[in-house]
Amino acid sequence: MTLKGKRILVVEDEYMIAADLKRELIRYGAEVVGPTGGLARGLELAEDHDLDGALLDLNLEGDWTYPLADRLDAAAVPYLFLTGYDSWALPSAYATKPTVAKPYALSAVMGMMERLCAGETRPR
Amino acid sequence: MSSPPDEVGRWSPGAPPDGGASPSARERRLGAEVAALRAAMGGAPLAASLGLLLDAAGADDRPSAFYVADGGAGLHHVVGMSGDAALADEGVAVLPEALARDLTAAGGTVLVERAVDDDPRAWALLARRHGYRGCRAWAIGTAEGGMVGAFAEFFADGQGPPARGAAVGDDLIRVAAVIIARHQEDRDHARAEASLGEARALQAFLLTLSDALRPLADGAAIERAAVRLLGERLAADRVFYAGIDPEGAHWWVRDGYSSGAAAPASGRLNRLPVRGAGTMFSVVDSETDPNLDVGERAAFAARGARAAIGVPLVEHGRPVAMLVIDQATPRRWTEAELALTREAAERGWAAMERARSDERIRKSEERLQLATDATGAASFIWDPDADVIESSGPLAALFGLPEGADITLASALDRFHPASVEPYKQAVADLLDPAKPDRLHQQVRIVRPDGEERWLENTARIHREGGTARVAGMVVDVTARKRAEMRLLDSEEHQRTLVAELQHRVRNITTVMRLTFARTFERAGDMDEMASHFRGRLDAMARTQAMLSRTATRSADLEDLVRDELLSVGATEETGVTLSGPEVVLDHKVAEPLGMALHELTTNALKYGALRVPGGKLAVRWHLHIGEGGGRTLRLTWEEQGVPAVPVRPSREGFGRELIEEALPYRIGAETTLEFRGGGVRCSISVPLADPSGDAAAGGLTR
Repeated sequence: MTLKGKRILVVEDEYMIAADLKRELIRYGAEVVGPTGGLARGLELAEDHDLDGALLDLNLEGDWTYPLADRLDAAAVPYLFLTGYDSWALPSAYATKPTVAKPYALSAVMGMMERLCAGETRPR
Repeated sequence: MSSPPDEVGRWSPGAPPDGGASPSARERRLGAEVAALRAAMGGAPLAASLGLLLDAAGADDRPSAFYVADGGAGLHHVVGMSGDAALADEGVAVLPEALARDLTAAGGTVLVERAVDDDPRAWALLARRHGYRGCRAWAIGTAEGGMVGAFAEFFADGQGPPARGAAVGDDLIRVAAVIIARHQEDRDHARAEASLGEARALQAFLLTLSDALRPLADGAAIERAAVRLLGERLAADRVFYAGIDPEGAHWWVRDGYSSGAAAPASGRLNRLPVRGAGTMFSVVDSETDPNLDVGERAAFAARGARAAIGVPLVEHGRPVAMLVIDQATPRRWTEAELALTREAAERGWAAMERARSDERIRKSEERLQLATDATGAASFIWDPDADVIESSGPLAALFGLPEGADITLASALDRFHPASVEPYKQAVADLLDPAKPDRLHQQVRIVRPDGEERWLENTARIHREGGTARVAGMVVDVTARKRAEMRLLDSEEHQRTLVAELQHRVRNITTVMRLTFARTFERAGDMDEMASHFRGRLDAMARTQAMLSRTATRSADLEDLVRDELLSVGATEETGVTLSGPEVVLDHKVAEPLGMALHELTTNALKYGALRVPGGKLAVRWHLHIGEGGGRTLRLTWEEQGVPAVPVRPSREGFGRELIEEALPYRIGAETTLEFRGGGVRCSISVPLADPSGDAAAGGLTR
């Protein structure tokens, strides 16, 4: 499987992590939209691009990315939460969303992204 | 590990600082350090990570060991010396506390050059016990100045200390400090989660209990359900309610649960322990408990109980009933079990109180007049068409109004807290709607004329006869119960938030550390140099975190941040450094990446720039620029002078450039320039500060 040609939005405020994800996505053949560390900018990018998927950091310095997740849900764009929290700390509406905990294994993130883009709703 | 080294000459004082080890030995040491860090970050047990680190120390078979502080003053052996695990058992000879005390007293390093038999220091005793003549021990410290452990080397010779040990040991303890901190973080995290799990289990049980009791109408049914749920939850032999007779002489069993291991309690009980005004008691073993008197002990024996918990219900300063948990065998009750029993008892009493209120309402319906309640409840009959309220009992007083004041729905609503008005109006509309249930049960928040906020509970029922309707109901002040409930919710919520924030912060920092590690080591190169780069970066992160953790708001002073970074490489005013600028307080979001950027600039200056060449000058200057809208921008310049020619830099220096040119704009919306030019490096950083809600991180990533 591959992410070749997939347009993936990356929203993550920590530069080191954003750069790491971007580099790996490009290695997998994806086209990266962003990255950005701002919620407002993330919403703009989601509006302006025809996305195949998204990687969302849950907490951007106190700003939760749920509004962005809702917009992606409405547009049927699959996304993956990156989070430092356990699922019990998430609001129940999002507790069942695909999530990768930090510190993450890049290969796991990419594997889940591939399966999400291939149409699986709850990749494991 | 345990045989003394035979080549004294290898430790001669004339050896070079790095110990004169062969290049392969040095590489082996650095390799072991990296392997130990990798293991620690991968979650390996402490003994395993530190054991890998010992391989670094043991390159020439020097006997050595790691000790870790266990919270108190003591040190406990983790890995290295066989037989050290029993240190605590032979406490008279070498007290773990004494090892720590000697290190503290000696300012972090103890050196025992020749352990003569009367050297009283603990490390000397330890060396002798292992059959060595000398020892060098280092304290492993944190950035905050605490001691988390120790590293010790033992040597057989009486001529003097091992010269090469000093440099190697200094390196090892820095790596060990990172590993131990990482391990303790994991452990603290696990503990916080365990205590949260306990709190959540308690909440879950109390919820089950409340749900089971709510629909029950009479007191006896509530008692039966409560004792059964509590008995099963605690795996207790017997749970029952006891009431005291009006003279206060004897207790009577009212309703009981029995697991089968003990006979159900019944009839008259001689004595139950009552403490003071009736505080909760618990007994681990009635045969040995010194707090029980002879009569109480006999009462335990008579009903076949060895351990028990009792929670009294106190009314008007006297215990009137008691919830009793019995165990036929001695039992050490945990804090969680005691808390659960106390909470469950309170919920049981509250449910019984409500059942009694309901009972009173039923009776009043027959007479169309509600009795006044001794607990301060008021009853009323309301004519909804005329909005006239006829009350008995202290209805006006409950609203904080003078006795006899006229109360209507409209005037009562005036006293409601705004948040309670709409829900109550809706509830009344529903009550008046014949298609909806004929009962109302509402808790409302009111504000008395003197400003005090209270919670009132209103239970009412509508009666329709012909074309008229009457609402009969009762109002009870439930402020105390409501406040207790809210305190419980607050403390749970607070705990959740704290643990979640801790998780978020620790995991983000761990991820960044891991990526920094990967970036530092991604290219082939000199291991020694890469390891020292990584240690420098870790130390810089640790310094910034330590500074932030000293303030409640997680902020740092800019001058402190710059000065600390430069001081870490020994650069001060005396060595040609100038710092100037106003006082600027940075929040953690700005301080973290700025600290890293300053570290990269410092490292570069030390290797190639102004901090390396004699006569080199470094000036760090900053000022605050106030924009037209009042927004503050920090403008900082780093300027080196007197550096003759910039040599070719290794490609790894690209990481520092990336942090300045890419990470600062991305993370904090900074504008930066970085020039390598004649005379030295010039870097300018411009950071917007006073826009906490702004989308400062909206910049893109260009690489």
